[in-house]
Amino acid sequence: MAKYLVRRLGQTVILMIVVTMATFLLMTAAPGGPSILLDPNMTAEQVAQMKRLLGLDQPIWKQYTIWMWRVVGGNLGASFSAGTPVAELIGHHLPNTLLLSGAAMLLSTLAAIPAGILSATRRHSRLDQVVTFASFFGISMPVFWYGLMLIVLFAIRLPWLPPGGMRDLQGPSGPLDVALHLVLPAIVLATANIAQLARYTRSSMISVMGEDYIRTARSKGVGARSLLYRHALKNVMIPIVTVTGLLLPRLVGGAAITETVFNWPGMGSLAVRAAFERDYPTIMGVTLVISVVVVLSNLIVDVLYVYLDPRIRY
Amino acid sequence: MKDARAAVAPASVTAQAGAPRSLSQLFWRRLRRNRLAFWSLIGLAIIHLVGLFAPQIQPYDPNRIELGKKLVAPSAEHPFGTDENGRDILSRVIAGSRVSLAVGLAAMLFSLVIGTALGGVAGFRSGFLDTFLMRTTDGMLSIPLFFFMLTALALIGSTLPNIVVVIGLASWMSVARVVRAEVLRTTPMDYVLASRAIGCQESRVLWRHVLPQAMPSIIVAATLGVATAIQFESALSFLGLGVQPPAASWGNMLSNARGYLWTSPLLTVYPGVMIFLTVLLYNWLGDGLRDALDPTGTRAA
Repeated sequence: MAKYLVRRLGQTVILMIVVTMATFLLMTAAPGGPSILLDPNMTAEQVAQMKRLLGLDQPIWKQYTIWMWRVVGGNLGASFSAGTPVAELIGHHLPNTLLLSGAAMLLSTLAAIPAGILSATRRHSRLDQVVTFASFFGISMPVFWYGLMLIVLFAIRLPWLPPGGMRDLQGPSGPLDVALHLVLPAIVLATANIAQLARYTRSSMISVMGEDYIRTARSKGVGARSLLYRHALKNVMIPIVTVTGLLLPRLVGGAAITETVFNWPGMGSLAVRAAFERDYPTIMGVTLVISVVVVLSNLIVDVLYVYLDPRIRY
Repeated sequence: MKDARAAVAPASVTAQAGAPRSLSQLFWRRLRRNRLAFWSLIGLAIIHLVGLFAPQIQPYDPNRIELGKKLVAPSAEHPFGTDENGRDILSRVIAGSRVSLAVGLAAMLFSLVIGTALGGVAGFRSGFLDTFLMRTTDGMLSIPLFFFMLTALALIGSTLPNIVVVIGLASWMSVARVVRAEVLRTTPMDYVLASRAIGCQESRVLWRHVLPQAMPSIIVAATLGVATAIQFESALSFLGLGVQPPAASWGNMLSNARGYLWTSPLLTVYPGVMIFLTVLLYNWLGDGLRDALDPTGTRAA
C-alpha cells in the first residue's frame, strides 16, 4: 500500500510538472502581455522597469524554474492585477468552489444510485423507461441554459430562491442564507452527473444480478431484499466508485460555468478574470491548485477501493 | 425503444429470413427498427440542412441592426421576436446553427484523428510507447479540462480555428481508449497474422487490416463526440470565449440573452432549445448506433 501510494504521488508530481509547464508556455507565448504593462500612462522606461521588477525580462525557462522553486517553498507569488498574494486569492475562492462541487457530488450520489438500482431491478418497467429517458435529457442539457431557465422559473417567476451570488447583502447572513443560494447552482451542476451515474449504476447492477453467485444465493432461498442489499449492492459499489472518480474532474470543470451563471465567487470566475488580464501568477496558481485538488480526490477514491474490494491489494 | 432492441434477432436468424446480405444492410435494418435512433437521424438531417442552407433560408440578415425594433415580441413579421439590437432572432438561430454545427463537426473530426492515431499506435506497438500514451490519456482525464480550455482561449484568442483546436485537444481521450481496446482485441487474430505472413508492411497491417475492425466503435465515439463538442462550444461562447459577436452562435446568443432575463426570458429559449435538441438527438443516435453496429447483435441493455 505504501509503495502504491508513493508511486501514485510520484505520478501526480510528474503530471503537475507537465500541466504547469504547458500552461506556462502557452501563457507566455500568447499574444499580448500582462494588462498592467499596457497602461498608456507608463513610459517605455517604466514598462521596462516594471518588467524587471516582475522578472518578466528573464528567459522563459528561467521564469518557470523560479516560479517552480517558489511553489516548492510554498509561495505562489503575488497577483499582478490585485497585488495580493495568489494564495490569499485562492484561499477566498477555493472553499466556495469546493462547497458547490461537494454539494453537487452529494446530491448526485443520493439521487443517482437509488434511481439506477430501482430501474435495474424493475427492468423494462415504466419507471425504468422514465429513468433512461430522463438521463438522456440530463446528459444533453446545456448547463448554463438549464441554469438560466431555473433562474427564470424559481427566482423571477416564483421568487422563492435568490437568482445568484452567495450571500444576501442586506438580509440575514449565515449558513442558512448560503444554503438557500446554494440550492439552484448545486442542482444545475449535479444534473449531468446524476444522469451519467444513474446510467452506470443501472448497467452495473444488471450485470451483477446476472452473475452466478447471485443465482446461487437465490436458489438457496435468500429473500429479494437481502439479495439486493447484502449480496448485489457490495459488488455494484465498486464500478460506481470508479465512475464517481472519473466524473470528478468534469464536475469541477463544469463548476466554472455554473459559477458564472449564478455569480458564485469561485475558482471559475477567478480563472476567467486572470486569463483575460494575463495575470501570470494567478493563472499558474489556479491551474496548479485546481488540478492538485482534483487529482488528489481521485487518489482518495482509489484508496477507497481497498476497503470496498478485499480482492484488490496494492 | 427497449422493445425494438429486444426484437433485433441474431445475425444468423435474420440471414436465414433472406433479406439482408451484407453487414451494411444488416446495419440499416437494425437502425430502422430502433425508432428513436432513426428519428434522431432524420431530425439531425433536417437541422444540418438548415445549417447548410442558412443564407437561403434566413428571412432577414442575421446581423442587421434595427434600433427602432428592440426586443419586439414574437409576431408574424418576426416569428421569434427580435433581440436587444433589433436583430431578427429566427434568422440568428438559423445562422447560428451553421456556426455551432461547423465547430462541433470540425472539433469532433480533429479529436477523432488524434484519438485514432494515438490509440491505434498504442495498441499496435504495445510496450513503452503504449504505457506512455495511456498514462498521458489518464493524466488528461484526471484534470479539470474545462479550466484549461477557457484559460487557453482567453490567452490565444477565440478565433474559429483556435476554438476547434482547443475543443479537439480536450476530447480525443475516449476515442483513443476505444480504438486501443479494439486494436488489442484484433491484432492477435489469425487473419492479421496471415497478412503479416504474406509480407504486408506494418503500417498497411494497421491501416487496412486492424483499424477497419475498430470502425463501428469509432463511428459511435464520433457521434457522441459531436454532442460533446457542441456543448463545449456553446459553454465557451456563453463565457464570451467562443464565437465572437456580431457573428451568431447558439452559445453567444444565450450569453446576450442573459442580460434580459427579467424582461425578455423568451430570448434564452430559442438558442437553448436548439443546443439541447441537437445534443439530445446526437446522443440518441449514438446510443442507437452502438446497438446497430454491435457485430454480435445481442448486446445486453
